[in-house]
Amino acid sequence: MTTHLARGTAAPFSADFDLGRLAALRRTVAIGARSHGLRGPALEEFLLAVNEIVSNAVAHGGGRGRLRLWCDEGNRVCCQVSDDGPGLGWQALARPCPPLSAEEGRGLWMARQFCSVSILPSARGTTVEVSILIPGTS
Amino acid sequence: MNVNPVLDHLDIGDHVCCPVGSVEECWAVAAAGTSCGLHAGHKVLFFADDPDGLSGHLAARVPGARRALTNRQLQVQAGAASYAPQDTFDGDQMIDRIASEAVLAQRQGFSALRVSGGLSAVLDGTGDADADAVVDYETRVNTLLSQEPIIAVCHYDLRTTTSEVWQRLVAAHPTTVVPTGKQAVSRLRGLRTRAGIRLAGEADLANHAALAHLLADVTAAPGTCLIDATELRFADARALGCLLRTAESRGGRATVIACPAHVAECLRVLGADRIPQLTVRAAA
Repeated sequence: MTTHLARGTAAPFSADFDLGRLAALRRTVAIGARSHGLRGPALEEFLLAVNEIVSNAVAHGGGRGRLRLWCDEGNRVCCQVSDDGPGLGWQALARPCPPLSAEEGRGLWMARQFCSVSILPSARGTTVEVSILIPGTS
Repeated sequence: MNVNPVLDHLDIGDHVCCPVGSVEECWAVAAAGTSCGLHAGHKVLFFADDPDGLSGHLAARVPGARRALTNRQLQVQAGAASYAPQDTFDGDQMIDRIASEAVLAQRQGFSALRVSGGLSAVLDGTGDADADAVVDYETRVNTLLSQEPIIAVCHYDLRTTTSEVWQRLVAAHPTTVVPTGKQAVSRLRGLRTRAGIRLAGEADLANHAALAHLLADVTAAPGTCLIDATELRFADARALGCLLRTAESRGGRATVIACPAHVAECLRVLGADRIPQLTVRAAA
């Protein structure tokens, strides 16, 4: 993983989270993403995507996890979310949006509508990477 | 101790889950709440495990509390007798009790009722049935709190609450505030309006059951139902699904969801256009 900062001055940061820190984490991620130049609708979309991955970790991945945020050389703001839960196969990314009657299960699908999402191989638990291109750059 | 500043700025419609780790912490939260409540001209009511102890603490710590105890603006009642008069927790009875206290407070000339209590005693050392009853009560009391001028702060002792029950309790409350923190874990307010409901704050995993209940309440609203979510700063995928399901479940009756542009965009992505009786109005 590269930690080189192509834009902005903020260093990559990491934070532990659980249910009690979900909203605070969104604010921290917003500040970090903004410092890399992410603004407007793209910022809102990125925050939603990150929130869904983090919520999945809290609800299904053992209640807690760790998040890292950085900006890569290709002007993408990237976020990696790891948990120690039972693990999530890459097939999860192929799941369609569940019907309206379903109470949950649309988080990962929703994240993919706005951001690139990949499930990274990891020895234990699940690591998901979410990234978005900063608009106006390429 | 200084308590979380969010607790000093609660407003009508707030239903707060407040985890406490000790009696001292619980009383510090009670003192802060009493101070705010008396200052705002609200009636302040506590259901406490140790009513005499808490009354003494408030009288000693909060300016004006002694006088308020005399003129009944401040009341401290025994918790157990209110929660479980027949030794089993009765959520319906509790909701009726709070409703009648709110009516009484208004009759006495107070602009709102600020009620606090701890239900840990109900959960303490008992089975899942009690946990289910308490979670169910905390979910259903949202209906009353969205309709009447009430602020409710519910103390739960983290030492006697399992993490599974704790997550369910948090989700049942629109707002959760840790006394030792600096900001809210989650903050959502739902206030019923003539046409529907007004939602403000953030809707996420930490209040999803509360939101689902508040929205279920407006499903049967006659005429066009207006879900005014213009002050809903954040809605997660589950909350977005819940908003759409509410509109769909109203059958042929119209629903308008007014919301920030980014929430409207998410609703569109999730298929809002496929619900003909739904209009999503994005705020500029």
